[in-house]
Amino acid sequence: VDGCTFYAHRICFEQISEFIGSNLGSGLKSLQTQIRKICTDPDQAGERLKSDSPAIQGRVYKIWVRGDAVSKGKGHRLIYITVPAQKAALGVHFSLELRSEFSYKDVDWQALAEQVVQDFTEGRIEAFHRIEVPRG
Amino acid sequence: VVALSRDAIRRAVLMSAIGSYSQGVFGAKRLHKVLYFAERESREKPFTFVKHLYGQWSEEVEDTLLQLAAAGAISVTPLDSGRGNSFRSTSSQLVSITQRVVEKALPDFHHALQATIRDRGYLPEERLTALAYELPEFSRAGAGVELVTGNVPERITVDISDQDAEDIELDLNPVFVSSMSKVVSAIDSSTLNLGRAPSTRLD
Repeated sequence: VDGCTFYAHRICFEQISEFIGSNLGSGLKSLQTQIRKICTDPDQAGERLKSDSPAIQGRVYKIWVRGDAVSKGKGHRLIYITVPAQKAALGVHFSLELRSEFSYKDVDWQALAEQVVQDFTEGRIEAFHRIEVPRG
Repeated sequence: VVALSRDAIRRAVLMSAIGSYSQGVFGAKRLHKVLYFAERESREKPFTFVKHLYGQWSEEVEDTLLQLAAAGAISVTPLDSGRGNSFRSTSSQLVSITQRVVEKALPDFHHALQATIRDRGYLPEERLTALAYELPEFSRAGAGVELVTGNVPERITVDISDQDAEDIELDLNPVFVSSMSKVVSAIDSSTLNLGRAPSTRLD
């Protein structure tokens, strides 16, 4: 996908909203920068999942969101999936805690997937949010 | 320093073992034997092994193999002989990371595994099996008896980078991979036009 629109599923949108509520400074700036990068080139912005599962089709990415006080290799994680047919990227998870303070084992991935799948299957457009960021 | 779960460590161990074979591992039996020999010579034992019809065998190794296949981290291909499968890693990057992680988390086992693969890992299967059957604890034990008991704690603290921990915990996690697969499939089969979604400005 070359140049796209970033959307967030409602669960990810709630996480982003909560993050912004308590990180108005450099945290918000970092999130805006990363979303801008995703919109420019989603395949280059984040790191592609290294697993070679054919069902994933190389479309799942993770990207760091940091702030001033967060060093390299740490920070919050935004996980997104590319949607080439709609020139879009969809945020599905944003970690409110810093990466070093939580385990992915504690995230209920199956429940998250069920929610997203259900919203797609039932055509609930209100479950998705188009995210716009000011120009950098 | 990062805490990793025992499941994540086991996936890293198998990935590291399979990745040590450039052409992949031919047969689950070979993999079980090699891991057993390594555990026997190491203080750290990631898997429990019992005496089975096919010799030293670990249910935990089988479960972990299925998890790696589900995560797309290994390919499983039937052998030409029609008996069993070959296992091959699909990502050299993940092999390097898992080898680094195993070396840090289970150093004794890592060295035993590398030595076992070097010295016995490529023996003809009949020879490898004969060596395994000759072991005194194997001939003494009855069917189903535990030969080696796994001793890796449920969580283990490892001196690795957050990035390596991330790859082990997420990229090799079959629950994450299968969940994301379902989302990708739902996206592709949906007629929902995301362009109609409400807009929010982040500032």
